[in-house]
Amino acid sequence: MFERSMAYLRGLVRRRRIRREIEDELRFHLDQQIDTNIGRGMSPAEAARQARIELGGLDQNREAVEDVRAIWLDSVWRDLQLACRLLRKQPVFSATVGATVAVCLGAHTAAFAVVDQVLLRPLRIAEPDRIVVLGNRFPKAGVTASLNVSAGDYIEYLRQTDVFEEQALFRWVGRTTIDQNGRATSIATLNVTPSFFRLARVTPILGRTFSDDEAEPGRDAEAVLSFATWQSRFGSDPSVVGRSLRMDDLPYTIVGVMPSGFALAGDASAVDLWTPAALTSEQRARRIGYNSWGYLARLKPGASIEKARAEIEAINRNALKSLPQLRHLAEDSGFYTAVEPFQDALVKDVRPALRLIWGGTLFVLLIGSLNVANLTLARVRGRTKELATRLALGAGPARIARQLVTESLLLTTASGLAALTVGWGGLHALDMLNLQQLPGGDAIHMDGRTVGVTLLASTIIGLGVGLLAALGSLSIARASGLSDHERSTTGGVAAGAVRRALVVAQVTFACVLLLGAGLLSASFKRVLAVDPGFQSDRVLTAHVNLPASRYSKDSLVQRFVDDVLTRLRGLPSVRSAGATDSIPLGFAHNSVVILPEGRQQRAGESSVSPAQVLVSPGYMETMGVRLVGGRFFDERDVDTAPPVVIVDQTLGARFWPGANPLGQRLHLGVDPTGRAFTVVGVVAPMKLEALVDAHESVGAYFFPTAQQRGRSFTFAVRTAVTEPTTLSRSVIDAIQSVDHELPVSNVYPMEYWTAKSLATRRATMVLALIFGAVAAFLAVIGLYGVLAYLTASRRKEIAIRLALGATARAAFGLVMREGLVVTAMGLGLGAVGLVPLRGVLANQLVGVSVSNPFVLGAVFALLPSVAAAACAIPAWRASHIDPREALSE
Amino acid sequence: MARREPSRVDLLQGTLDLLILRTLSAGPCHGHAIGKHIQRTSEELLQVETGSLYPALHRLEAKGWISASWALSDKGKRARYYRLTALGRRQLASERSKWQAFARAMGLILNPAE
Repeated sequence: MFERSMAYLRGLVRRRRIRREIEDELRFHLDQQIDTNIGRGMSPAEAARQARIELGGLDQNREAVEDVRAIWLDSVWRDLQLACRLLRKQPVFSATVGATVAVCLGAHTAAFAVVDQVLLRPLRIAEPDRIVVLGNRFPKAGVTASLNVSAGDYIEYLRQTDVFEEQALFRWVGRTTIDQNGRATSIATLNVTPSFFRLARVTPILGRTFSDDEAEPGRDAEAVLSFATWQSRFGSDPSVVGRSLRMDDLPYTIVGVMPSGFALAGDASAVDLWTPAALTSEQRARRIGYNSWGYLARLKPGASIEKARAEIEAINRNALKSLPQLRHLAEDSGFYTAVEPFQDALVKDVRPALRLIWGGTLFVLLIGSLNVANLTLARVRGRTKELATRLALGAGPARIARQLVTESLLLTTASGLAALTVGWGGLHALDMLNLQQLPGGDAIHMDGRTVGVTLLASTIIGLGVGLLAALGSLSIARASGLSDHERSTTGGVAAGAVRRALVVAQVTFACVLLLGAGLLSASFKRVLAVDPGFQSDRVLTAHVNLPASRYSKDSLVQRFVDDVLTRLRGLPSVRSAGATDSIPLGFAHNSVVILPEGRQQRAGESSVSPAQVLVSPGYMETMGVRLVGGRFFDERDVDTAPPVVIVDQTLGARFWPGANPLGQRLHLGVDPTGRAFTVVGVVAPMKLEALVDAHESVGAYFFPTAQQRGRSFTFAVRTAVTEPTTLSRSVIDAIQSVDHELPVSNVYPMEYWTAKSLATRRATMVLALIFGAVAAFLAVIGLYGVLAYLTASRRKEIAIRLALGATARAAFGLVMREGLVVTAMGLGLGAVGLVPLRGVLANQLVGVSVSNPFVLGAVFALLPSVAAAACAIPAWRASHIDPREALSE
Repeated sequence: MARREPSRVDLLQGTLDLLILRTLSAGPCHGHAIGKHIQRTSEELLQVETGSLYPALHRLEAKGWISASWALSDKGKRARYYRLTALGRRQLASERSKWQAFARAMGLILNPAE
């Protein structure tokens, strides 16, 4: 094979030389013949004439020889031409196979592009697998997934660890600037230690990054721009380095510009610029309990993550020995510092969903390929006469096999190209998964790997299907007769068994996919039915960050909040308004310690309560939070009034089991002599982080905005209109009429936050349903195809049965039984598929077990009935065979 | 295919290859001489068409039974000379015995008295 291919390639290169050689050879022949003729006594002119007649045309001869020389090239070309002709002659078959492969493969292409670029290669920097991320966790207090540490931890680890080559802290800061049009806009800033860029090993395209001495308070008014900011705000000005940028009324000097797509922490489209993190001595001293910093570290070459964990654990254990109060807290809450591979941590949330979607497309591709194989086998049987004729005319079985493989490859390769288009479209459709928010998600595209995998898959499918068809043709070769009689009972048995097995496999896979889709939708329904503890309809939210430069005093912040609320409440169509520092389902929360007054702390019991929320008077009414006892905050709860707190039922039950929390008192922090807050209200629990808790809630507590410091607020407005976005403009105007330099962001209806928190879940479910439906459709088509073929090839047999007295019903039953047996086998195997499905779906299902009777019932009722309908058509045909007609054919 | 003159014997399919191999077993030869040799040796009964001869030569070359090289003919012109390869020699032996068996079988049937 290889030698022949080489000969073919050589033939292509040397075509012209070969042609010249053949011409030379024939010309020599002509000369010799002329000489011979002259020797026989002819005149030279007559000799030449006779010789030419005898040769019969130089060109024809040359072509005849060329045909021989180019035998390999020629036969491949002929195969292709024949294949094209045959495919054109059967447009329905070609279109069906082509469309099946293009759609199934295209779906896989899109899923693969996402999986490959997000799950496998989320970070596009050097040696990403050596970067780890740290997080202080307090599992007994419900803090199980945090990726935050305290600034003091960094100082300690810098001094004491040996496994890291580079370590860096980062933290989001919302800053404000005035743009060219004089409008206030927010700038998403990442505060980073200068080591951040060294750790990433990415150099700026202009200027420089920060030096270590710029991380000192007072020397930190510098900024490195992101590529996008440089482009949009500075028009890609090459002399931008050295220019000044005012943020929050302070001048920052631009020192560098990073290349396009650089982010490392946060997605590339979200970071506007980086500023140095200048740690105050107070920050440097805070260990373990003040977790507001992200922490990245690059392992030294050869250093293992286990070693890093061990080192950090030892450092923390030592440190806690000298901090008794903190040690209590740490031990009670099960404190440990997690060290995780950064790439894993980045994609942890989306991995299950993406894997499910990818798995779904793989299944659909598999079912589609099985269908194509089945269709092709059926067609080979239909071409028995043609193939037998070619065999009789001297084409060997190998030649026939090659022809069949060529045909199938031609079709699947063309479909593969179409699949690239489908995949490209699919990538856009996948946008509903919020791909841009995934790490590396803004740059997902059809890259070389994706295109290569798609074309490879189409080739494999083509080869596989072609070889299967070739195997099918072997039985014809063996039986090789031109008559088209019931030889199929011998040669057809094997092929029939293969086709039946293919359909069983299809039904199995379709069954598993439908089960998965059913379970996901049942679970989604449960999630939708979850009581979030608030009412999101008709509520509009808007977010502001108050710059520290202008809002240095708590009184200024309070006046701002009060003024905005007054104006908002004065708007037409506004029923009520309130403010909070963390809107449900929108933001993260603080990890703060509170202690009930006079309570004996039991060993091993955590006092960390992660959900601390600031709310203004009117907020809970606006959000429709249910009051269980006591009162909401109101105008009484100013900064000079006695400190108060509202707790939810979960926290109340945790701190005062069996007692009424109203009137009880809480301490903030580990110091029992500090300010005490009196519980004035108890509310029903709200879903703050997600509709589905990743872990059991340990309870939330609420302080009035007037009594706790905050700078970041979300205003919530309950409107009288069903479409709250119609009020967006007036809400923004109301806020900016109090501070016209303040950018207002995230102006969304509350339902947006709900939908957003469900986006991945919804997309997974919708895609699974689509895949399941496609799979079921393909399987049923496959089943129908097999039965239709079986009925056609057993036409005479059935006719004889009917002639011998069998009833039409018996004939109907004969075919039905065939189909239902195949379906039952597929369903049986599909039920077995529940076992692996349980593992795959375990963390995706909420309130639904894998053996959910409704889902099982629906799938195991739906699939057989659709299958029965598909069987009924050929069965009906079989029962209506006219014996006289069929037997005289 | 061009019509052949009725006075001559048509070549049976597949026999041309055998004749070429046999001719070349005597030594290297160019195309024209091969045709002439077959014609002469068969007492002019077999006429080899140029249109069959050269494709056959190139086919045999592609199969590796004969090889070709350019050399000067006895009249000093460049000619393409063919020679039998070892593979071709084996092929000749097997084809020859097959042909002899076939000829004997034909003879037995056509001349049953013998």
